[in-house]
Amino acid sequence: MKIIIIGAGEVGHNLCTTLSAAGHNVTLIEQSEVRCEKLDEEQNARIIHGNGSSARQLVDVDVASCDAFLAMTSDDRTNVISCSLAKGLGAKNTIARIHDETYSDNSVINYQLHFGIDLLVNPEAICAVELAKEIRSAGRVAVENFARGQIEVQQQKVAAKSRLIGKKLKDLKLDPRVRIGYIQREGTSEVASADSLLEEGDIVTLFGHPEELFTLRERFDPAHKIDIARVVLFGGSETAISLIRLLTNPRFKVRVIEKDKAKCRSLAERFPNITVIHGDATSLRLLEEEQIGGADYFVACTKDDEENILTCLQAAKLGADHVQLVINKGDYDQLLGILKTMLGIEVVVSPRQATAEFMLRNLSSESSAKLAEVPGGGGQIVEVRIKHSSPCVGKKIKDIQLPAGAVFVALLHKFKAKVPAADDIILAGDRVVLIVSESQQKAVLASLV
Amino acid sequence: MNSAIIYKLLSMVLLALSAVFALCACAGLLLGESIRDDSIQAFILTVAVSIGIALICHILGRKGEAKLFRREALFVIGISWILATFIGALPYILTHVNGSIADAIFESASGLTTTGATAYSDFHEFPKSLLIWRSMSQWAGGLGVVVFFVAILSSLGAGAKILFSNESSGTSADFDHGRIQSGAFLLMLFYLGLSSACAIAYKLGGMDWFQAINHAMTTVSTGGFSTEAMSMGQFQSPTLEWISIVFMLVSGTTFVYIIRLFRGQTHILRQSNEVYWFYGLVAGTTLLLMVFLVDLTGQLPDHESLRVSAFQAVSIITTTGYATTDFNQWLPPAEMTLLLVMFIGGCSGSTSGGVKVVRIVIAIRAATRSITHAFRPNVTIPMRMGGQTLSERAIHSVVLFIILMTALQLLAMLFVSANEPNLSFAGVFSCVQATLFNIGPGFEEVGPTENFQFLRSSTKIFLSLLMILGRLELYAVLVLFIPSAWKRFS
Repeated sequence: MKIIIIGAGEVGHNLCTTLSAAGHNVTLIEQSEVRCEKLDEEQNARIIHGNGSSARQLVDVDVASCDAFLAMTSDDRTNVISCSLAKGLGAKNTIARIHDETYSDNSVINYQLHFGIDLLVNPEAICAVELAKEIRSAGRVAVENFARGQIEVQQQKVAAKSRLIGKKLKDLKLDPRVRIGYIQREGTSEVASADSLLEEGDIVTLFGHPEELFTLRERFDPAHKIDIARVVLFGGSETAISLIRLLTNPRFKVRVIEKDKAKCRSLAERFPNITVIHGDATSLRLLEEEQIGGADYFVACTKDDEENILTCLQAAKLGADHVQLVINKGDYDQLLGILKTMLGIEVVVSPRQATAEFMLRNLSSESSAKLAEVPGGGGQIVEVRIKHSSPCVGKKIKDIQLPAGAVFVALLHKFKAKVPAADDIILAGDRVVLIVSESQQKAVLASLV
Repeated sequence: MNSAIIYKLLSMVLLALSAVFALCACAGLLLGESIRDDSIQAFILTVAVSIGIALICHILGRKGEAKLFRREALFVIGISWILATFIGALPYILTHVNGSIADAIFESASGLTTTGATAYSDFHEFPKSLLIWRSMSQWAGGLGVVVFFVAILSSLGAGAKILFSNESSGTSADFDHGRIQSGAFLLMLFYLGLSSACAIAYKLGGMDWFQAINHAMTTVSTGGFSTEAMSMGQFQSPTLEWISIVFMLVSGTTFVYIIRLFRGQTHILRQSNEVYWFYGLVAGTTLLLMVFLVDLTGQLPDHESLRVSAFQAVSIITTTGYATTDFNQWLPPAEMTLLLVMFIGGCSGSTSGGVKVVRIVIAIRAATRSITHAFRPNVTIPMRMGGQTLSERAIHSVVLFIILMTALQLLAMLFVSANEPNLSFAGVFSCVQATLFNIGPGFEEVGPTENFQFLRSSTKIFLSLLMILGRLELYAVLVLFIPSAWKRFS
């Protein structure tokens, strides 16, 4: 596959390494001549010094013949212009890296449609989803999430005191945005149907919007109280902002420590419900003053990896229950394991890696991609792209006969994800996420692709 | 230093070489040699030796990661060329042809580096399998013995780029391809296609298949070995000479340029680049030689004199070194012209040797710029070449390379003349020139109708080293002589 990448920052650079190692024909356009020279030696790709938002430059690299065009500079406007030009010049698939929420707000005009961008990617948001996963659903048996955190799959045990015991599923009156997929009982698992009865000790696999799932949790296990989670973020970076957005539920008490005064003010204005502290988290006194020891979660997400690591260690020593951090540089990749096992840091996330995985999945020519194993070996979670030639295009969900052991989890239509309802129609270009047992996989794929 | 990867790659180079030897033996058997003949026995032994060394290298290099940095890449290239030269000499030694071990090494180096100077006066009487090896060595050396692996081993990753740019005079940036592997593969396909076209053209022009294939291999690699005693002059055929001129010219042109033209990217024709300079140089040299021929013979220029001058000009500029006439008999100004273009050579990214046209053009421009700066120090003059602005560092390295090459030539002349006190000045000068710049024939004692057999063994070994130095554009060999390059920490 011919891929053109604009911008060789941490994200572009890492994508170039990953994609060229996967055997793709990669061309990288970068503005800094010095960086070009360095990259030329370490990358098995064509490195070109130039301006990625110049049409002449794009014609020179033969953009019309490229299968994917990735604008990955740190400047949103450059990315938008490049993608728009590339689309106009005939690139098949254009992906832009966007930080600013402005371009995802489609209430006045659809930016993506207007500029011809096929996909907006925000590495920081992808990263924040990873961080939020642990915070939002602590104590759950297992969690997987898809569609940038809009849909989550969880397993939940039905506790002894639950009032749901002995009821049929159709009588539960669940929120329409939540669905029960599997019921596991004494080692056997069955696909849930309207008449399934819940018993004590069952493990049910739920999917739906994360916050809805959280409220459901109480009904399955009344003894387990919802406690308030105290979250401290170090750094008011893009990642932090995305993370704050994901933690809007009142059960999270979010506190942000940021060095830059102007940033503090803008954060405080944008998010009135959080506490913003102006200061440096590398200072021990400040951490003690703010009682970091009593925090449930400490997340270091500044742009500076070294500070992230050290403040995390400090916070863990002061007694923060869970520490998480963001690592930006690719050079530290091999240290991630050590950080986890030896220093007690629970989650280490890197925006580069998260983006690269996301891209590989998006660029793969295969019509289906395995997203994860269902916890407990129940099967696989698979994402399927619906092509124009697919037999199920235009059908309603209820009309598609899936074999036993397969359930629709999510329907992704133009970047909106939802739990599919019976009357939803599948269109070409959509993606559907399914839970499929190993044995049924082939049959299911045959009926969809 | 990561020696595992060096061993690993060396073992692959040797395995490939042994395959080539086996091919030569098979061809010899097909062409009527018996298995008990010295030549076939020699090839079998050579295959055994190279497989043996390959095995040892394989065992030494089986552990360790495949990370290739600059130092390892340079070492792999330098060592594999020197090793290949020694192993390539085995067939000559073991066939017991008329000559010493130094002769065999000289012949092998001359083959692999596509120089085309010979140390044997009776090479046309060699067994056919040995003749094929002679031509085949040039064909393999033309593109480079390591380039083949760049295309095959995708595990080398970006290290392949360093390998490629150090063995071939082109740079990977010329390719349209992101992955160096697919670029190198395309290059090989082009090379193979060009060779086949050349062989067919020679056959249609009147050679038999054996001659056609051998000459095709040495034409497209701009090597210049011939199976005939009188080189191209043996055939006395104007058609063949014109065919040869065309294919030598194509082989002296930047390959990637031709490939891009084939793919319809005609916009590159509008850029001023080295290919135009190269063809201009060829035309100018031909014209000058014709003028001097008129001086020599007193006849007006005709088709004959045009062909003879064009053939000599192309053969020398592309550093092929075929001969149709003995240019030793020409007037001194004609010889001077040839001497000058010997230095320049063909285009970068082709199979030809020499300093390369692009470097000369850049150096001349840099020189004129410095003259302008002498009276107008503040004027900014950008240097553009092939549609790109050159960085100061690139200009600097070009100038340094030319200085290094010239210094090496002068020092080598001192060594050769001290070693061969009876050699004339023109002989010393041109034999160093002919080997360092991978041309083949020189003047006087080493002229186109002579050979290098009469030189002392030590001189021949030294000239062999010069050939490898010239072929690899110095650095890959010179680093082997820098002690700190061998040290783990320094």
